Amino acid sequence: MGLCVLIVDDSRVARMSLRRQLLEIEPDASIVEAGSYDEALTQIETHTPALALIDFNMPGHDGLELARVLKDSLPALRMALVTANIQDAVSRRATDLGMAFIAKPASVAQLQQFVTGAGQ
Amino acid sequence: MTVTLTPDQQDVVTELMNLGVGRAADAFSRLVGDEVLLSVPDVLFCSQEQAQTHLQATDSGQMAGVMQTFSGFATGTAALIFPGPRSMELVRLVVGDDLPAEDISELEQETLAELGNIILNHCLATIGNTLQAEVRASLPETYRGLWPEMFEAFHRITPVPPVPAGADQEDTLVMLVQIDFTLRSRNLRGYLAFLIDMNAAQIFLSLIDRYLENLSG
Repeated sequence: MGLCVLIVDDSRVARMSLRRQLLEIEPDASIVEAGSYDEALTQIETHTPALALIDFNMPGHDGLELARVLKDSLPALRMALVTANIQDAVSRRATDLGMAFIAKPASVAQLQQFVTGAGQ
Repeated sequence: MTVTLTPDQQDVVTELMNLGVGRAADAFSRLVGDEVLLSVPDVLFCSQEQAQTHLQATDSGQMAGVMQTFSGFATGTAALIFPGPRSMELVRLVVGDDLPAEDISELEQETLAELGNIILNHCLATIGNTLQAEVRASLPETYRGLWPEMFEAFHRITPVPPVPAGADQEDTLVMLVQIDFTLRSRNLRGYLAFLIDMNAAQIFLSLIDRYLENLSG
């Protein structure tokens, strides 16, 4: 059973791109996708991801709101906010939640760093 | 109603757009795997009508665009617009050539939305960071059509900011910032435009002044 990674992004294209990059790094990873806050909460009922890549700007609840909830449900989960919203304020809020911050488009090197750090 | 900017203030606007678009171009070039060449931002203060006439003169025919409204350091709409027939080419650059044509076509709208989202957000966030003011952007929406239809969408989605007493809505002065970008190896051209209602841009102007003060201080 490979590493389980949750990708949350309302854009299917963004999810496809992250999936492709993750599989380049971890070919055995099992990837779980969600297009929204609600879908992410449904996914964690049946999956226990070790890592989560979360978009910030989504319809309904944003990625930071989701991260707060996921942190309570899955204390061991390591999360990264993956967003084009590179504002200092947004990245600070992510860091305050213990999340990594990855600017979109993510590079394989950045994702690799996040994935490798997960084992620690 | 006229809102005039001092040469220094205009200079700051151009510089902010340069910074914002520079970051956006970096993201863009990583997405499409090609060097992105940018023109110097062309900053125009004009009526909405003049803005439309100006853009129509640059390109006729079908256009494809992604728009996001924003509020914070200023209220307005940001748009990434390029000639419609070339949009599939751009989509293919982003999602890769290995997908079947029908899949690419199915993903067109979503790819354009995500592309716009990345470019416009990089730009707005960089300006916000530079002015030390936050900005919130709506989710991206994609549009297709001739310029008049693009403008119709522009008007429809742009939030109407509170206009100071005495200002006539008809006279709304907009700041149109136009930047042309070209992909080096493909000769694919597009525009970034920001429409900001200057009648309700006091915060923007005071942030620009603060930025200027910090420069000279």
